[in-house]
Amino acid sequence: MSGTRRLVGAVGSCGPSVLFGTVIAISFLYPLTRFLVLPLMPDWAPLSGLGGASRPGLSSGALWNTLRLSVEAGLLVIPPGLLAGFLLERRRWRGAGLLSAALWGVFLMPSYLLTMGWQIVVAAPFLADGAAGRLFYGEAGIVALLTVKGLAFSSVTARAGWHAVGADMDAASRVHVPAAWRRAWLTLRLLLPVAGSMFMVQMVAASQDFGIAATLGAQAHMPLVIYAIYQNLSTVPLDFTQAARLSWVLVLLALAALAVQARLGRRDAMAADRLRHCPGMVPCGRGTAVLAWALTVGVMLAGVAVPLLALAVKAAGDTGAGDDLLIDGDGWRGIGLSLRYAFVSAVFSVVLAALILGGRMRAGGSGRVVARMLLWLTSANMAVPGVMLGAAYVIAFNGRVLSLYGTPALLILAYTASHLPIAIRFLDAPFAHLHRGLGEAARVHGVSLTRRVERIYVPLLLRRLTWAWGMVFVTLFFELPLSEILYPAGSAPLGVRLLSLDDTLHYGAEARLALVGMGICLAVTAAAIALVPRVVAGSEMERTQRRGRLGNAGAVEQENV
Amino acid sequence: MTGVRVAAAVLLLLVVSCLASLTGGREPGLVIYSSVGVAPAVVAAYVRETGRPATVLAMPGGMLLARVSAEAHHPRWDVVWFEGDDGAVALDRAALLAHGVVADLDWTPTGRALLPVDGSYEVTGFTLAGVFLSRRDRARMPRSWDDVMAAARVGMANPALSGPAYPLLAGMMALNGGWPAGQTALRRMVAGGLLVGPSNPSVLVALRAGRIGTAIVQSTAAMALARANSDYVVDIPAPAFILPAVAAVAADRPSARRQEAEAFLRFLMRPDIQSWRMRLPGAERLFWPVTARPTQPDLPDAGGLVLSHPDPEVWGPLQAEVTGWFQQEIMR
Repeated sequence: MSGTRRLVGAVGSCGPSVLFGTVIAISFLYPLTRFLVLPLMPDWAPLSGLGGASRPGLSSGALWNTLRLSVEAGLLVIPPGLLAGFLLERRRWRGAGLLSAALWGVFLMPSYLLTMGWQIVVAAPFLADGAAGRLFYGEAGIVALLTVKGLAFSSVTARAGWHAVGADMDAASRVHVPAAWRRAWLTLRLLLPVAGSMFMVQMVAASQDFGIAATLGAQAHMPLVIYAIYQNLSTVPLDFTQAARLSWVLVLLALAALAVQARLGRRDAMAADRLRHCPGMVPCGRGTAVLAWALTVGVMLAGVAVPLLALAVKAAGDTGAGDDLLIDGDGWRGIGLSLRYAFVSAVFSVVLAALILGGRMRAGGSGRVVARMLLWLTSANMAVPGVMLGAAYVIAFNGRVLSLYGTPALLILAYTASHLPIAIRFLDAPFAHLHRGLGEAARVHGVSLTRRVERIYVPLLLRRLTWAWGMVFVTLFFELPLSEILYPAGSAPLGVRLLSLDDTLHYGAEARLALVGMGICLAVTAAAIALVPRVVAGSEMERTQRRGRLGNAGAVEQENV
Repeated sequence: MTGVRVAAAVLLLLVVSCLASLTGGREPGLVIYSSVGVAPAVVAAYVRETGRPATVLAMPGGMLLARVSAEAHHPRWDVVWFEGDDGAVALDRAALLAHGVVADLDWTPTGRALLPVDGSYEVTGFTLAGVFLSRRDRARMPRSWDDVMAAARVGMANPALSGPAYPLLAGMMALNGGWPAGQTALRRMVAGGLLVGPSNPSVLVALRAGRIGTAIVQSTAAMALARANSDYVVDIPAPAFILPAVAAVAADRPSARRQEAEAFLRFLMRPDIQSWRMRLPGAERLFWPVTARPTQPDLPDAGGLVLSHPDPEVWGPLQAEVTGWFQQEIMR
């Protein structure tokens, strides 16, 4: 036991910097650098037996489509996003919980399943040949789905913005600005940085969304950069260099957006610093209530209910493709594999995120600098879509050294690396709110790092850690782009299996598999989130009570002596 | 032991058991990449008979060629089995295929003509790359390549995604002056409303939905639909383009695995296995054999058809260029 303690102590004092530096170098820096320098060093591309010569230039159609659609989706998400934030942050009404649930549902719904649900609806004879069918299989359909998908994240940003426009500002404007429209205008101007932030985040998310581009985009013959990258990597002619060129576009777009967002965030924070009082929750007026329910029902229907219902109807009905109403062995195997891949990778992501964020809390200056650097690097990785990371991994891990391509280890590494930033983002605030004095005081009193983790940090953070795990688990369970590119032979995860059924037009089997997968995934996540904190905390409380009783007994004995 | 420690121990146990089952589970054995629909059933029969493990990775033809190219000289596969010898020639030019894998069998004249000189791949049978499948109620059904190229509302599969579509495109180009002269004929078809689907099944869906009047699709898919539904009729054009199914062995694998791969190829060509494949339900049984035994009871005699085989040595190396052009100009 003492050996373990010494090891933990050693790792605690200097190990993390080296360990995490190595992890980041292997999982991000080396593969991405090797991939992104391909336009300059085309000889570094793997042998492309069917690649021929790389085509110069970029696909202007795909670039223009991506830019236009991303901007449209970015603009369209602002009004409903601001409204959702306003309703959840500033108004007291009975549907707030339902709106939150609907937004969570949209967030967790994989975009390719969202698309597939709507494809089933639009395939109805009275819609397919009409204006609805034409609109859906075009720009309008893609932008609409991107907007619905982006609403969940945008509303979180909007909530923060509405929170920052505090009660003081409301009171001041009520006193000094008599006209209601001018007060509204003032508030909107205050919300401009938030709207800008929402626009940027949504634009990046829309430009990187693979699920919609690979399904609706491909079927509507609307080339998009993210799908063009995938095509360059997985269809004839193979062109890694062109994929790298296109990837640069997405990276630059995302980095520019992140920079603008960071700047807007600073302005936002400065504005918030000046405001002292949090805004109160006011009951909804009649007009606002109508608007609120319309938004809630709209989000619920468009993002969750209609696609799920369509999938359920398709799953129960005759498919016309010779399917029986059961899930075949490959389907169950896909679910089993995805459960294990997602479980392990989510644990690794959350543990790594916790260790990186924990490093920031250390007393020593060097650890904090390294932790900040790692934090920055992993945040920058958000600019890297899954398709690009997959391409980078194919090149980096298919040589004599680190020959991991085609193995489960590489898929786990890719899953972990791609979702580490999400885990960090989710856990950033809970770690920041931990008072450093707690750990410091314990350390000064000679409490070892293991004990501090066990008795102080884990009990305080357990619920958040479990939630972070659940969120990463759900998104990994249905992960598509990385899985498509990196899955090992004979071990197709659920996403790959679903897309394969979609390609071969077995919509009924696909719908059944998707629904069963969703049910299992949500059951596992809900069980973990509900049980883990309760079991661990219950056990801790029992132990504390027992120790308390023993302590009392000891005190009584001492008194008797 | 505290609750946190118990939880950590349980978590560790779960992670380790998941990792063990994912990485150290069933040995994949012989790895076969295939775009041939019947491959999983054949591999299962091979495993049953030999008791040796084998794994099949099924994917569309275009994707298969791309994956094999991406893996290059560090292949994770032992055998590839797909349709279209142009792709096999391209892979062979990149030195990815082992030579001398062709067994001495009782090849038919057509079969012998399809075999490569260097023995880099074995032909396991053939179908036709493009036959005309039309709705019976269509006023004027195309009967020849000239008809179909001038007709409106025709559909075909995308050669970047669908393996059989490239030999079809190569044949159509060859009929119209080769490369790049044949581009004009394709542009004419686009002007007439050519619909390009990602795969043969998706083109059939477009036909059933009435979005196109005629589908130029692989003979297996067309014949299966026409036999199941009398509303559709198949016309075999003259010439009809041969689409050989080919199987090859990875060059960069240890010799023991190569021997195992060659044993699988011998299994595939055994008369009893071929007969069994011809009796399977579904479209996959509708192939013409390239060996004298067995004969195909369910298809017209190949000797009575006008067949053409675009030279894979010419069209194989052009695959990237032709498909790239198709993606850029026709799919736009």
